[in-house]
Amino acid sequence: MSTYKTLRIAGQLYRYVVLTVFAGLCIFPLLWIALTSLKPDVGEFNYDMSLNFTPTIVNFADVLTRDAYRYYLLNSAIIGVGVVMVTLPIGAMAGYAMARFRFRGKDNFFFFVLSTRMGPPVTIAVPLFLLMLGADLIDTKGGMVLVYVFMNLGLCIWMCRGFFEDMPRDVEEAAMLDGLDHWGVFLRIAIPLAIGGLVATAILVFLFTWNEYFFASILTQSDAKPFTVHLPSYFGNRRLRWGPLSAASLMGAIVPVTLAWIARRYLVEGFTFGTVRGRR
Amino acid sequence: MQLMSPARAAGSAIREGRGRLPPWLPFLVPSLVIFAVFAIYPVVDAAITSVCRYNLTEPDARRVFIGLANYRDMVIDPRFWGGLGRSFQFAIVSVTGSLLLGFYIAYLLNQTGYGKGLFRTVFLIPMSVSATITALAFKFMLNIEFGIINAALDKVLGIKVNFLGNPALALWSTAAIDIWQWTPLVVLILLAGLESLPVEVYEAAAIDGAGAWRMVRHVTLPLMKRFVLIAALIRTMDAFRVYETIQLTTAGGPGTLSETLNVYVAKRAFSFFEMGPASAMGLFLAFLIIFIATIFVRKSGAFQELVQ
Repeated sequence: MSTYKTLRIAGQLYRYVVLTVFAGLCIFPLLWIALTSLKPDVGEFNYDMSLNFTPTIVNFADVLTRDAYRYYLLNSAIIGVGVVMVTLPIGAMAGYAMARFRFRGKDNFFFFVLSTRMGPPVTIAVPLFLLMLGADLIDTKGGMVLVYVFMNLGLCIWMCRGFFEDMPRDVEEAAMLDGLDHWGVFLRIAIPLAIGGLVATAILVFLFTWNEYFFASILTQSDAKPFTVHLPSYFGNRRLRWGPLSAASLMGAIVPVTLAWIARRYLVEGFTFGTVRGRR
Repeated sequence: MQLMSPARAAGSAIREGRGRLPPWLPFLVPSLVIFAVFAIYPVVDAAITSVCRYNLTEPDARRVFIGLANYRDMVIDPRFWGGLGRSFQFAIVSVTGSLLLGFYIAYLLNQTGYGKGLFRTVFLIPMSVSATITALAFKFMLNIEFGIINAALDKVLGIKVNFLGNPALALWSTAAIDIWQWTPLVVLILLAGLESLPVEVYEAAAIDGAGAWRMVRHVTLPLMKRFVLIAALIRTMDAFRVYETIQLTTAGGPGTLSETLNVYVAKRAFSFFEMGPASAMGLFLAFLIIFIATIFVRKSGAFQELVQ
Protein backbone atom coordinates (compact mmCIF):
# COMPACT_ATOMS: atom_id res chain seq x y z
CA MET A 1 0.00 0.00 0.00
CA SER A 2 1.33 3.40 -0.88
CA THR A 3 2.11 5.91 1.85
CA TYR A 4 -0.44 8.28 0.42
CA LYS A 5 -3.22 5.75 0.71
CA THR A 6 -2.23 4.82 4.26
CA LEU A 7 -2.25 8.47 5.23
CA ARG A 8 -5.68 8.95 3.72
CA ILE A 9 -7.15 6.00 5.56
CA ALA A 10 -5.55 7.16 8.78
CA GLY A 11 -6.98 10.63 8.24
CA GLN A 12 -10.42 9.21 7.64
CA LEU A 13 -10.21 7.04 10.70
CA TYR A 14 -9.13 10.00 12.81
CA ARG A 15 -12.02 12.07 11.49
CA TYR A 16 -14.59 9.44 12.38
CA VAL A 17 -13.10 8.93 15.81
CA VAL A 18 -13.25 12.66 16.60
CA LEU A 19 -16.77 13.03 15.24
CA THR A 20 -17.98 9.96 17.10
CA VAL A 21 -16.48 11.17 20.37
CA PHE A 22 -18.15 14.56 19.89
CA ALA A 23 -21.47 12.93 19.02
CA GLY A 24 -21.08 10.74 22.08
CA LEU A 25 -20.61 13.81 24.25
CA CYS A 26 -23.74 15.34 22.74
CA ILE A 27 -25.86 12.33 23.50
CA PHE A 28 -24.35 11.21 26.79
CA PRO A 29 -26.26 13.39 29.32
CA LEU A 30 -29.59 12.32 27.86
CA LEU A 31 -28.46 8.72 27.79
CA TRP A 32 -27.33 8.86 31.42
CA ILE A 33 -30.62 10.40 32.46
CA ALA A 34 -32.51 7.73 30.55
CA LEU A 35 -30.51 5.00 32.29
CA THR A 36 -30.99 6.55 35.72
CA SER A 37 -34.69 6.99 35.14
CA LEU A 38 -35.01 3.22 34.66
CA LYS A 39 -33.20 2.32 37.86
CA PRO A 40 -35.17 1.34 40.94
CA ASP A 41 -35.56 4.33 43.24
CA VAL A 42 -33.09 3.77 46.06
CA GLY A 43 -34.29 6.71 48.10
CA GLU A 44 -32.89 10.10 48.89
CA PHE A 45 -29.19 10.92 48.80
CA ASN A 46 -28.38 7.51 47.48
CA TYR A 47 -27.19 6.50 44.10
CA ASP A 48 -25.80 3.32 42.72
CA MET A 49 -23.76 4.01 39.62
CA SER A 50 -23.50 0.42 38.43
CA LEU A 51 -25.27 -0.61 35.27
CA ASN A 52 -26.36 -3.82 36.88
CA PHE A 53 -30.04 -3.29 37.56
CA THR A 54 -33.50 -4.44 36.62
CA PRO A 55 -35.21 -1.72 34.57
CA THR A 56 -38.37 -0.36 36.11
CA ILE A 57 -40.87 2.32 35.23
CA VAL A 58 -41.62 3.09 38.86
CA ASN A 59 -39.93 6.51 38.61
CA PHE A 60 -42.13 7.56 35.73
CA ALA A 61 -45.24 6.34 37.51
CA ASP A 62 -44.12 8.13 40.63
CA VAL A 63 -43.49 11.44 38.90
CA LEU A 64 -46.67 11.35 36.87
CA THR A 65 -49.09 10.27 39.58
CA ARG A 66 -47.75 11.22 42.99
CA ASP A 67 -46.02 14.46 42.02
CA ALA A 68 -48.62 15.98 39.72
CA TYR A 69 -45.84 16.39 37.16
CA ARG A 70 -48.38 15.59 34.47
CA TYR A 71 -50.18 18.84 35.24
CA TYR A 72 -46.99 20.80 34.72
CA LEU A 73 -46.29 19.00 31.47
CA LEU A 74 -49.84 19.72 30.42
CA ASN A 75 -49.41 23.39 31.35
CA SER A 76 -46.29 23.56 29.19
CA ALA A 77 -48.18 21.98 26.30
CA ILE A 78 -51.25 24.22 26.66
CA ILE A 79 -49.16 27.38 26.89
CA GLY A 80 -47.05 26.24 23.93
CA VAL A 81 -50.06 25.56 21.72
CA GLY A 82 -51.64 28.87 22.74
CA VAL A 83 -48.46 30.76 21.90
CA VAL A 84 -48.24 29.12 18.48
CA MET A 85 -51.88 29.88 17.71
CA VAL A 86 -51.42 33.57 18.45
CA THR A 87 -47.85 34.10 17.25
CA LEU A 88 -48.06 32.36 13.91
CA PRO A 89 -50.90 34.36 12.29
CA ILE A 90 -49.54 37.66 13.62
CA GLY A 91 -45.97 36.86 12.67
CA ALA A 92 -46.95 35.54 9.25
CA MET A 93 -48.84 38.76 8.51
CA ALA A 94 -45.90 40.92 9.52
CA GLY A 95 -43.47 38.64 7.71
CA TYR A 96 -45.55 38.91 4.56
CA ALA A 97 -45.57 42.70 4.80
CA MET A 98 -41.79 42.66 5.23
CA ALA A 99 -41.35 40.40 2.21
CA ARG A 100 -43.77 42.00 -0.21
CA PHE A 101 -44.15 45.70 0.55
CA ARG A 102 -41.77 48.61 0.52
CA PHE A 103 -42.16 51.27 3.14
CA ARG A 104 -40.13 53.80 4.98
CA GLY A 105 -38.43 52.65 8.15
CA LYS A 106 -38.54 48.98 7.16
CA ASP A 107 -34.85 48.47 7.93
CA ASN A 108 -35.18 50.09 11.31
CA PHE A 109 -38.23 48.03 12.13
CA PHE A 110 -36.33 44.93 11.17
CA PHE A 111 -33.43 45.74 13.45
CA PHE A 112 -35.84 46.64 16.20
CA VAL A 113 -37.44 43.22 15.83
CA LEU A 114 -33.99 41.66 16.01
CA SER A 115 -33.14 43.61 19.15
CA THR A 116 -36.18 42.20 20.93
CA ARG A 117 -34.46 38.85 20.79
CA MET A 118 -31.00 40.14 21.59
CA GLY A 119 -31.86 42.12 24.66
CA PRO A 120 -31.61 40.34 27.99
CA PRO A 121 -34.98 39.15 29.33
CA VAL A 122 -34.06 40.36 32.80
CA THR A 123 -34.35 44.01 31.65
CA ILE A 124 -38.03 43.77 30.88
CA ALA A 125 -38.72 41.25 33.62
CA VAL A 126 -39.41 43.88 36.28
CA PRO A 127 -41.90 45.95 34.24
CA LEU A 128 -43.59 42.81 32.92
CA PHE A 129 -43.86 41.42 36.44
CA LEU A 130 -45.48 44.68 37.62
CA LEU A 131 -47.71 44.81 34.54
CA MET A 132 -48.92 41.26 35.08
CA LEU A 133 -49.39 41.94 38.77
CA GLY A 134 -51.54 44.97 37.95
CA ALA A 135 -53.56 43.11 35.32
CA ASP A 136 -54.05 40.15 37.66
CA LEU A 137 -52.32 37.87 35.17
CA ILE A 138 -49.68 36.40 37.49
CA ASP A 139 -49.83 32.61 37.47
CA THR A 140 -52.32 32.45 34.60
CA LYS A 141 -51.79 30.54 31.37
CA GLY A 142 -53.22 33.46 29.40
CA GLY A 143 -50.65 35.82 30.86
CA MET A 144 -47.82 33.41 30.07
CA VAL A 145 -49.09 33.06 26.50
CA LEU A 146 -48.95 36.84 26.08
CA VAL A 147 -45.37 37.06 27.34
CA TYR A 148 -44.21 34.20 25.13
CA VAL A 149 -46.03 35.58 22.10
CA PHE A 150 -43.88 38.66 22.43
CA MET A 151 -40.72 36.63 23.02
CA ASN A 152 -41.25 34.54 19.88
CA LEU A 153 -42.78 37.12 17.58
CA GLY A 154 -39.47 38.49 16.34
CA LEU A 155 -38.24 35.04 15.40
CA CYS A 156 -41.54 34.27 13.74
CA ILE A 157 -41.51 37.46 11.66
CA TRP A 158 -37.94 36.89 10.49
CA MET A 159 -38.57 33.30 9.54
CA CYS A 160 -41.89 33.91 7.80
CA ARG A 161 -40.40 36.77 5.87
CA GLY A 162 -37.75 34.42 4.52
CA PHE A 163 -40.30 31.86 3.39
CA PHE A 164 -42.48 34.44 1.65
CA GLU A 165 -39.44 36.01 0.04
CA ASP A 166 -38.46 32.64 -1.42
CA MET A 167 -41.77 32.29 -3.25
CA PRO A 168 -42.02 33.48 -6.83
CA ARG A 169 -43.92 36.73 -7.14
CA ASP A 170 -45.56 35.78 -10.45
CA VAL A 171 -48.33 33.72 -8.91
CA GLU A 172 -49.31 36.48 -6.54
CA GLU A 173 -49.17 39.07 -9.29
CA ALA A 174 -51.37 36.94 -11.53
CA ALA A 175 -53.86 36.51 -8.68
CA MET A 176 -53.98 40.27 -8.19
CA LEU A 177 -54.78 40.70 -11.85
CA ASP A 178 -57.62 38.23 -11.32
CA GLY A 179 -59.06 40.61 -8.79
CA LEU A 180 -57.80 39.35 -5.44
CA ASP A 181 -56.84 42.07 -2.98
CA HIS A 182 -53.78 41.88 -0.71
CA TRP A 183 -55.60 39.86 1.92
CA GLY A 184 -56.93 37.47 -0.68
CA VAL A 185 -53.46 36.95 -2.09
CA PHE A 186 -52.01 36.49 1.38
CA LEU A 187 -54.63 34.03 2.59
CA ARG A 188 -55.31 32.05 -0.56
CA ILE A 189 -51.98 32.12 -2.39
CA ALA A 190 -49.08 32.97 -0.11
CA ILE A 191 -50.01 30.91 2.94
CA PRO A 192 -50.71 27.67 1.07
CA LEU A 193 -47.45 28.07 -0.84
CA ALA A 194 -45.40 28.70 2.29
CA ILE A 195 -47.17 26.14 4.45
CA GLY A 196 -44.10 23.92 4.99
CA GLY A 197 -42.08 26.82 6.32
CA LEU A 198 -44.97 28.02 8.47
CA VAL A 199 -45.32 24.59 10.07
CA ALA A 200 -41.60 24.56 10.80
CA THR A 201 -41.92 28.02 12.35
CA ALA A 202 -44.81 26.81 14.50
CA ILE A 203 -42.74 23.85 15.69
CA LEU A 204 -39.82 26.09 16.62
CA VAL A 205 -42.04 28.57 18.45
CA PHE A 206 -43.52 25.69 20.43
CA LEU A 207 -40.04 24.33 21.17
CA PHE A 208 -38.74 27.66 22.48
CA THR A 209 -41.85 28.15 24.61
CA TRP A 210 -41.68 24.62 25.99
CA ASN A 211 -38.04 25.13 27.03
CA GLU A 212 -38.40 28.56 28.63
CA TYR A 213 -37.59 28.89 32.31
CA PHE A 214 -36.74 32.44 33.36
CA PHE A 215 -40.07 34.23 32.86
CA ALA A 216 -42.01 31.20 34.01
CA SER A 217 -40.02 31.07 37.23
CA ILE A 218 -40.97 34.68 37.98
CA LEU A 219 -44.54 34.78 36.73
CA THR A 220 -45.99 31.42 37.78
CA GLN A 221 -46.53 29.68 41.09
CA SER A 222 -48.85 26.72 40.63
CA ASP A 223 -51.84 27.11 38.29
CA ALA A 224 -49.80 28.01 35.23
CA LYS A 225 -46.50 26.45 36.32
CA PRO A 226 -44.75 24.71 33.43
CA PHE A 227 -42.57 21.64 33.93
CA THR A 228 -39.32 23.63 33.65
CA VAL A 229 -40.14 25.47 36.86
CA HIS A 230 -41.11 22.32 38.71
CA LEU A 231 -38.06 20.35 37.63
CA PRO A 232 -35.46 22.04 39.88
CA SER A 233 -37.55 21.13 42.94
CA TYR A 234 -36.33 17.54 42.46
CA PHE A 235 -32.88 18.89 43.15
CA GLY A 236 -33.70 20.72 46.36
CA ASN A 237 -31.55 20.57 49.46
CA ARG A 238 -33.98 18.38 51.28
CA ARG A 239 -34.97 16.27 48.32
CA LEU A 240 -32.44 14.57 46.13
CA ARG A 241 -34.01 11.69 44.29
CA TRP A 242 -32.17 10.82 41.15
CA GLY A 243 -34.73 8.44 39.72
CA PRO A 244 -37.68 10.83 39.68
CA LEU A 245 -35.43 13.73 38.64
CA SER A 246 -34.19 11.75 35.67
CA ALA A 247 -37.63 10.47 34.69
CA ALA A 248 -39.07 13.98 34.83
CA SER A 249 -36.13 15.41 32.87
CA LEU A 250 -36.38 12.74 30.22
CA MET A 251 -40.08 13.42 29.68
CA GLY A 252 -39.33 17.12 29.37
CA ALA A 253 -36.55 16.46 26.87
CA ILE A 254 -38.23 13.96 24.57
CA VAL A 255 -40.79 16.44 23.23
CA PRO A 256 -38.37 19.12 21.97
CA VAL A 257 -35.85 16.57 20.67
CA THR A 258 -38.58 14.92 18.62
CA LEU A 259 -39.83 18.26 17.35
CA ALA A 260 -36.31 19.37 16.49
CA TRP A 261 -35.85 16.20 14.51
CA ILE A 262 -39.11 16.79 12.61
CA ALA A 263 -38.15 20.38 11.80
CA ARG A 264 -34.44 19.60 11.40
CA ARG A 265 -34.12 21.18 7.98
CA TYR A 266 -35.30 24.49 9.40
CA LEU A 267 -33.74 24.31 12.85
CA VAL A 268 -30.55 26.22 12.14
CA GLU A 269 -32.59 28.82 10.32
CA GLY A 270 -34.76 29.23 13.39
CA PHE A 271 -31.84 29.54 15.77
CA THR A 272 -30.14 32.12 13.55
CA PHE A 273 -33.14 34.31 12.82
CA GLY A 274 -33.32 33.05 9.27
CA THR A 275 -29.85 34.32 8.42
CA VAL A 276 -28.43 30.86 7.80
CA ARG A 277 -30.25 28.58 5.44
CA GLY A 278 -29.46 24.94 5.76
CA ARG A 279 -29.86 22.51 2.91
CA ARG A 280 -33.50 21.96 2.15
CA MET B 1 -43.78 55.26 -24.32
CA GLN B 2 -42.90 51.85 -23.09
CA LEU B 3 -45.76 49.68 -21.98
CA MET B 4 -45.52 47.83 -18.71
CA SER B 5 -46.34 44.16 -18.87
CA PRO B 6 -49.47 43.32 -16.89
CA ALA B 7 -47.45 41.29 -14.42
CA ARG B 8 -45.08 44.18 -13.78
CA ALA B 9 -47.99 46.54 -13.33
CA ALA B 10 -49.52 44.20 -10.79
CA GLY B 11 -46.15 43.89 -9.15
CA SER B 12 -45.85 47.61 -8.67
CA ALA B 13 -49.37 47.61 -7.32
CA ILE B 14 -48.24 45.09 -4.70
CA ARG B 15 -45.33 47.28 -3.82
CA GLU B 16 -46.94 50.69 -3.80
CA GLY B 17 -50.56 49.92 -3.08
CA ARG B 18 -53.54 52.13 -3.66
CA GLY B 19 -56.17 53.72 -1.51
CA ARG B 20 -55.87 55.77 1.62
CA LEU B 21 -54.31 53.45 4.16
CA PRO B 22 -50.99 52.02 3.08
CA PRO B 23 -51.81 48.37 2.30
CA TRP B 24 -48.98 47.04 4.44
CA LEU B 25 -50.17 48.73 7.61
CA PRO B 26 -52.96 46.31 8.59
CA PHE B 27 -50.51 43.43 8.21
CA LEU B 28 -48.21 45.04 10.75
CA VAL B 29 -50.68 46.44 13.27
CA PRO B 30 -50.98 43.35 15.52
CA SER B 31 -47.21 43.01 15.72
CA LEU B 32 -46.78 46.70 16.42
CA VAL B 33 -49.30 46.52 19.25
CA ILE B 34 -47.50 43.56 20.84
CA PHE B 35 -44.11 45.23 20.52
CA ALA B 36 -45.50 48.43 21.98
CA VAL B 37 -46.92 46.64 25.03
CA PHE B 38 -44.13 44.14 25.63
CA ALA B 39 -41.00 45.90 24.39
CA ILE B 40 -41.41 49.66 24.32
CA TYR B 41 -43.61 50.05 27.39
CA PRO B 42 -41.37 47.85 29.60
CA VAL B 43 -38.23 49.71 28.59
CA VAL B 44 -39.85 53.09 29.30
CA ASP B 45 -41.25 51.74 32.55
CA ALA B 46 -37.86 50.33 33.54
CA ALA B 47 -36.29 53.71 32.82
CA ILE B 48 -38.79 55.36 35.18
CA THR B 49 -38.31 52.72 37.87
CA SER B 50 -34.55 53.10 37.57
CA VAL B 51 -34.73 56.65 38.95
CA CYS B 52 -37.07 55.64 41.77
CA ARG B 53 -36.97 53.90 45.08
CA TYR B 54 -39.34 50.98 44.78
CA ASN B 55 -39.02 48.06 47.14
CA LEU B 56 -41.82 45.53 46.92
CA THR B 57 -41.08 44.08 50.35
CA GLU B 58 -42.11 47.32 52.01
CA PRO B 59 -45.77 47.79 52.94
CA ASP B 60 -47.64 50.11 50.54
CA ALA B 61 -44.69 50.02 48.17
CA ARG B 62 -44.79 52.70 45.53
CA ARG B 63 -42.30 54.48 43.34
CA VAL B 64 -40.58 57.47 44.91
CA PHE B 65 -38.40 59.61 42.68
CA ILE B 66 -34.81 59.66 43.91
CA GLY B 67 -32.94 60.91 40.88
CA LEU B 68 -29.84 59.05 39.78
CA ALA B 69 -29.16 57.45 43.17
CA ASN B 70 -29.66 53.94 41.81
CA TYR B 71 -27.10 54.56 39.09
CA ARG B 72 -24.67 56.07 41.62
CA ASP B 73 -25.09 53.01 43.84
CA MET B 74 -24.56 50.79 40.84
CA VAL B 75 -21.25 52.43 39.98
CA ILE B 76 -19.90 51.99 43.53
CA ASP B 77 -21.31 48.46 43.97
CA PRO B 78 -18.44 45.96 43.81
CA ARG B 79 -20.90 43.15 43.16
CA PHE B 80 -22.08 44.96 40.01
CA TRP B 81 -18.52 45.26 38.68
CA GLY B 82 -17.74 41.70 39.69
CA GLY B 83 -20.83 40.47 37.88
CA LEU B 84 -20.01 42.54 34.81
CA GLY B 85 -16.48 41.17 34.74
CA ARG B 86 -17.72 37.61 35.08
CA SER B 87 -20.28 38.19 32.34
CA PHE B 88 -17.42 39.11 30.03
CA GLN B 89 -15.26 36.21 31.22
CA PHE B 90 -18.13 33.79 30.75
CA ALA B 91 -18.98 35.18 27.31
CA ILE B 92 -15.39 35.22 26.06
CA VAL B 93 -14.67 31.66 27.18
CA SER B 94 -18.01 30.27 26.05
CA VAL B 95 -18.02 32.03 22.67
CA THR B 96 -14.40 31.33 21.72
CA GLY B 97 -14.64 27.78 23.03
CA SER B 98 -17.74 26.95 21.06
CA LEU B 99 -16.49 28.72 17.91
CA LEU B 100 -13.10 26.98 17.85
CA LEU B 101 -14.47 23.56 18.67
CA GLY B 102 -17.47 24.15 16.41
CA PHE B 103 -15.32 25.12 13.45
CA TYR B 104 -13.08 22.10 13.89
CA ILE B 105 -16.01 19.69 14.05
CA ALA B 106 -17.75 21.37 11.10
CA TYR B 107 -14.51 21.20 9.12
CA LEU B 108 -14.18 17.48 9.77
CA LEU B 109 -17.86 16.85 9.17
CA ASN B 110 -17.75 18.66 5.85
CA GLN B 111 -15.17 16.17 4.55
CA THR B 112 -17.33 13.28 5.62
CA GLY B 113 -19.70 11.50 3.33
CA TYR B 114 -20.87 8.38 5.08
CA GLY B 115 -22.75 9.02 8.33
CA LYS B 116 -22.96 12.78 7.91
CA GLY B 117 -26.73 12.82 8.28
CA LEU B 118 -26.58 10.74 11.44
CA PHE B 119 -24.01 13.07 13.01
CA ARG B 120 -26.12 16.09 12.13
CA THR B 121 -29.15 14.52 13.76
CA VAL B 122 -27.27 13.75 16.97
CA PHE B 123 -25.95 17.31 17.05
CA LEU B 124 -29.52 18.58 17.26
CA ILE B 125 -29.92 17.19 20.77
CA PRO B 126 -28.01 19.65 22.99
CA MET B 127 -29.54 22.78 21.47
CA SER B 128 -33.10 21.52 21.53
CA VAL B 129 -33.17 20.35 25.15
CA SER B 130 -34.21 22.99 27.66
CA ALA B 131 -31.34 24.73 29.45
CA THR B 132 -33.15 23.79 32.66
CA ILE B 133 -32.76 20.08 31.94
CA THR B 134 -29.19 20.58 30.75
CA ALA B 135 -28.25 22.44 33.92
CA LEU B 136 -29.80 19.82 36.21
CA ALA B 137 -28.34 16.91 34.23
CA PHE B 138 -24.85 18.39 34.51
CA LYS B 139 -25.35 19.22 38.17
CA PHE B 140 -26.16 15.56 38.62
CA MET B 141 -23.25 14.29 36.52
CA LEU B 142 -20.76 16.68 38.12
CA ASN B 143 -21.88 15.84 41.66
CA ILE B 144 -18.87 14.96 43.74
CA GLU B 145 -20.41 11.89 45.36
CA PHE B 146 -22.93 10.58 42.86
CA GLY B 147 -21.79 12.07 39.57
CA ILE B 148 -20.61 9.84 36.75
CA ILE B 149 -17.95 12.36 35.70
CA ASN B 150 -16.32 12.29 39.11
CA ALA B 151 -16.65 8.53 39.28
CA ALA B 152 -14.82 8.29 35.96
CA LEU B 153 -12.15 10.75 37.11
CA ASP B 154 -11.72 8.78 40.31
CA LYS B 155 -11.29 5.54 38.46
CA VAL B 156 -8.86 6.82 35.85
CA LEU B 157 -6.86 9.48 37.67
CA GLY B 158 -7.74 8.79 41.28
CA ILE B 159 -8.99 12.32 41.85
CA LYS B 160 -12.35 13.94 42.47
CA VAL B 161 -13.10 17.50 41.44
CA ASN B 162 -15.76 19.69 42.95
CA PHE B 163 -16.52 21.37 39.65
CA LEU B 164 -19.42 23.50 40.83
CA GLY B 165 -18.28 24.14 44.40
CA ASN B 166 -14.62 24.99 43.87
CA PRO B 167 -14.19 28.80 43.84
CA ALA B 168 -11.58 28.59 41.09
CA LEU B 169 -13.67 26.33 38.88
CA ALA B 170 -17.36 27.19 39.34
CA LEU B 171 -17.62 29.88 36.65
CA TRP B 172 -15.59 27.87 34.12
CA SER B 173 -17.68 24.78 34.79
CA THR B 174 -20.85 26.68 33.96
CA ALA B 175 -19.16 28.06 30.84
CA ALA B 176 -18.26 24.49 29.87
CA ILE B 177 -21.91 23.47 30.18
CA ASP B 178 -22.81 26.40 27.94
CA ILE B 179 -20.17 25.29 25.43
CA TRP B 180 -21.62 21.78 25.51
CA GLN B 181 -25.09 23.09 24.80
CA TRP B 182 -24.26 25.49 21.97
CA THR B 183 -21.23 24.11 20.11
CA PRO B 184 -23.44 21.84 17.98
CA LEU B 185 -25.37 24.89 16.78
CA VAL B 186 -22.08 26.52 15.76
CA VAL B 187 -21.19 23.29 13.95
CA LEU B 188 -24.41 23.36 11.96
CA ILE B 189 -24.12 27.07 11.13
CA LEU B 190 -20.52 26.74 9.96
CA LEU B 191 -21.30 23.51 8.13
CA ALA B 192 -23.96 25.39 6.16
CA GLY B 193 -21.23 27.90 5.33
CA LEU B 194 -18.70 25.25 4.32
CA GLU B 195 -21.26 23.51 2.13
CA SER B 196 -21.98 26.78 0.35
CA LEU B 197 -18.36 27.26 -0.71
CA PRO B 198 -17.58 26.49 -4.34
CA VAL B 199 -15.36 23.42 -4.80
CA GLU B 200 -13.27 25.20 -7.43
CA VAL B 201 -11.72 27.40 -4.78
CA TYR B 202 -10.21 24.38 -3.07
CA GLU B 203 -9.06 22.88 -6.31
CA ALA B 204 -7.34 26.09 -7.32
CA ALA B 205 -5.69 26.41 -3.92
CA ALA B 206 -4.67 22.76 -3.96
CA ILE B 207 -3.05 23.21 -7.37
CA ASP B 208 -1.15 26.16 -5.92
CA GLY B 209 0.16 23.71 -3.36
CA ALA B 210 -1.46 25.20 -0.30
CA GLY B 211 -1.37 22.97 2.79
CA ALA B 212 -4.42 22.22 4.89
CA TRP B 213 -3.76 24.92 7.49
CA ARG B 214 -2.97 27.62 4.92
CA MET B 215 -6.05 26.61 2.96
CA VAL B 216 -8.23 27.11 6.03
CA ARG B 217 -6.51 30.31 7.03
CA HIS B 218 -6.41 32.06 3.66
CA VAL B 219 -9.24 30.48 1.67
CA THR B 220 -11.91 28.93 3.85
CA LEU B 221 -12.13 31.42 6.69
CA PRO B 222 -12.27 34.60 4.57
CA LEU B 223 -15.02 33.07 2.42
CA MET B 224 -16.87 31.96 5.53
CA LYS B 225 -16.67 35.35 7.23
CA ARG B 226 -20.40 35.93 7.17
CA PHE B 227 -21.22 32.59 8.79
CA VAL B 228 -18.53 32.97 11.44
CA LEU B 229 -19.85 36.43 12.30
CA ILE B 230 -23.44 35.23 12.55
CA ALA B 231 -22.38 32.38 14.82
CA ALA B 232 -20.27 34.76 16.92
CA LEU B 233 -23.10 37.29 17.18
CA ILE B 234 -25.73 34.78 18.25
CA ARG B 235 -23.41 33.06 20.68
CA THR B 236 -22.32 36.38 22.23
CA MET B 237 -25.88 37.61 22.73
CA ASP B 238 -26.88 34.32 24.31
CA ALA B 239 -23.79 34.09 26.50
CA PHE B 240 -24.56 37.46 28.11
CA ARG B 241 -28.11 36.32 28.85
CA VAL B 242 -27.32 32.90 30.28
CA TYR B 243 -29.43 32.27 33.33
CA GLU B 244 -30.47 28.66 34.01
CA THR B 245 -27.01 27.25 33.35
CA ILE B 246 -25.70 29.31 36.27
CA GLN B 247 -28.72 29.77 38.51
CA LEU B 248 -29.65 26.09 38.61
CA THR B 249 -26.11 24.74 39.03
CA THR B 250 -24.16 27.09 41.28
CA ALA B 251 -26.78 29.83 41.86
CA GLY B 252 -23.89 32.24 41.43
CA GLY B 253 -21.81 30.62 44.15
CA PRO B 254 -19.64 29.83 45.91
CA GLY B 255 -20.19 33.28 47.35
CA THR B 256 -20.64 35.35 44.22
CA LEU B 257 -17.78 33.74 42.31
CA SER B 258 -19.90 32.52 39.42
CA GLU B 259 -22.48 35.28 39.54
CA THR B 260 -22.77 37.07 36.20
CA LEU B 261 -24.45 40.45 35.89
CA ASN B 262 -27.57 38.86 34.45
CA VAL B 263 -27.91 36.55 37.45
CA TYR B 264 -27.19 39.39 39.89
CA VAL B 265 -29.86 41.62 38.36
CA ALA B 266 -32.42 38.82 38.60
CA LYS B 267 -31.45 38.30 42.25
CA ARG B 268 -31.83 41.99 43.10
CA ALA B 269 -35.23 42.07 41.43
CA PHE B 270 -36.82 38.80 42.44
CA SER B 271 -35.04 37.74 45.62
CA PHE B 272 -34.64 41.16 47.25
CA PHE B 273 -37.44 42.90 45.29
CA GLU B 274 -35.38 46.08 44.93
CA MET B 275 -36.92 47.13 41.66
CA GLY B 276 -35.06 50.46 41.36
CA PRO B 277 -31.48 49.18 41.36
CA ALA B 278 -32.51 46.11 39.36
CA SER B 279 -34.03 48.32 36.65
CA ALA B 280 -30.96 50.53 36.50
CA MET B 281 -28.62 47.57 36.10
CA GLY B 282 -31.00 45.79 33.73
CA LEU B 283 -31.05 48.80 31.43
CA PHE B 284 -27.29 49.02 31.57
CA LEU B 285 -27.01 45.36 30.57
CA ALA B 286 -29.51 45.79 27.73
CA PHE B 287 -27.66 48.79 26.32
CA LEU B 288 -24.36 46.99 26.62
CA ILE B 289 -25.63 43.94 24.73
CA ILE B 290 -27.41 45.93 22.06
CA PHE B 291 -24.33 48.13 21.66
CA ILE B 292 -22.15 45.06 21.06
CA ALA B 293 -24.78 43.58 18.75
CA THR B 294 -25.06 46.78 16.73
CA ILE B 295 -21.31 46.84 16.16
CA PHE B 296 -21.48 43.24 14.98
CA VAL B 297 -24.46 43.83 12.71
CA ARG B 298 -23.34 47.13 11.20
CA LYS B 299 -19.66 46.26 10.79
CA SER B 300 -20.06 42.70 9.63
CA GLY B 301 -22.81 43.17 7.11
CA ALA B 302 -23.97 39.75 8.23
CA PHE B 303 -27.58 40.84 8.16
CA GLN B 304 -27.31 43.32 5.31
CA GLU B 305 -28.19 41.01 2.50
CA LEU B 306 -31.39 40.11 4.29
CA VAL B 307 -32.40 43.74 4.67
CA GLN B 308 -32.19 44.94 1.11
